[in-house]
Amino acid sequence: MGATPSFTCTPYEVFDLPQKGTVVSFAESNAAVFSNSLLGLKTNKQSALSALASSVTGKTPLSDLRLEEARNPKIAIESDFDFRTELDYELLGYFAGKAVKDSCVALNSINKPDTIQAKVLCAAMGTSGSCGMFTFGGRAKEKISFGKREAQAVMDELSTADDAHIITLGSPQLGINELKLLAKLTETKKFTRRCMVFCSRTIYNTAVKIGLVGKLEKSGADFRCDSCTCLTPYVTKDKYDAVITNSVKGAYYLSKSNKVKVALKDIKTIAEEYTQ
Amino acid sequence: MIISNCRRIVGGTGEGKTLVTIQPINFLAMVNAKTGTITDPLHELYGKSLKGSVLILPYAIGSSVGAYAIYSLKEYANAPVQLCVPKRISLRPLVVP
Repeated sequence: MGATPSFTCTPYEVFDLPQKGTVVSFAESNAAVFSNSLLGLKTNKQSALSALASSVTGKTPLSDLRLEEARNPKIAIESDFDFRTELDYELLGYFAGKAVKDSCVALNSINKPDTIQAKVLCAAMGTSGSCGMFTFGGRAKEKISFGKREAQAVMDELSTADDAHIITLGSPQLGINELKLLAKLTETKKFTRRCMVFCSRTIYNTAVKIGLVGKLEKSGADFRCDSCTCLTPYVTKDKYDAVITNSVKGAYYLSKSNKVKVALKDIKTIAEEYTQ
Repeated sequence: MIISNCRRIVGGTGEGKTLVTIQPINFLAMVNAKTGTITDPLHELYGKSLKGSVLILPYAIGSSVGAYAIYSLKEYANAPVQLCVPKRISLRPLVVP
């Protein structure tokens, strides 16, 4: 049929992107939120089945985020919070998705996230709600505040363990940026826990070529392609009581679907605490 | 019973016990397709079976993989007979006798 089997939740890092304003049909919630919010593409939060139907018919429903009205946020999240790590942005994304029933939300008073932070922010927002888009700032009528207390409430909900025997990284699958950062953080060190790293096969192949996989394997990283932290059959309750991850999306699905407890920490903290 | 204020997406008819919830459902995280039950203790339909029901929920949340979960429910013969997703459910009668 002409399909390219990419097995990735980060198609925006693997394929050439269409021009801004193009209507696409993206399954995978983080990719839909990322495309609408950061790439200027227009998609509803499709499922794999409806996106497949779009690929055959060339059509996708003219509803929701394909209409301008839905792309203008009515509610803004006002942040009174010092965003330092990618995890802080994830807590905001999870909070916003849960608090807002609309398809689009404005995020006010935040420092613009870098690509690593933006990816996980999108994934967290896609996990907790039905929101498929955010804007940076916006004249919304209603305001909801997000501060230390709200961030802590999300942590209390999702971080249910202090420690674990395994680290899983990659939901969404890690890109070259994240692998470079991880290699820098773990340089000349070794993981003291088993560390599974999930990335797409395309990213893996590129990372092999530029020596990143070799470096990270030296530190003890264990690469897995075509899967991710939250959909993997490798991490189940029979094998592990708890997991360490920096992914809010991973934490949510590991605890809800796999019934595994989660120690949620940012990537720098994980590298500091679990390498020597 | 007649359900008002809904637009038909997929045609068909079905009869079953009505399950109404004002809480959204994450089909990937909260449903066991093999048993057809809601597995999240924090959800108000916890322990209830979706099999053969007319399920009325405000909206679905979370991963797009949720669509596969609904597909799995059908494969395991545990699917609802009707799904009604009105976005907002008011506690005043949505279902008009």
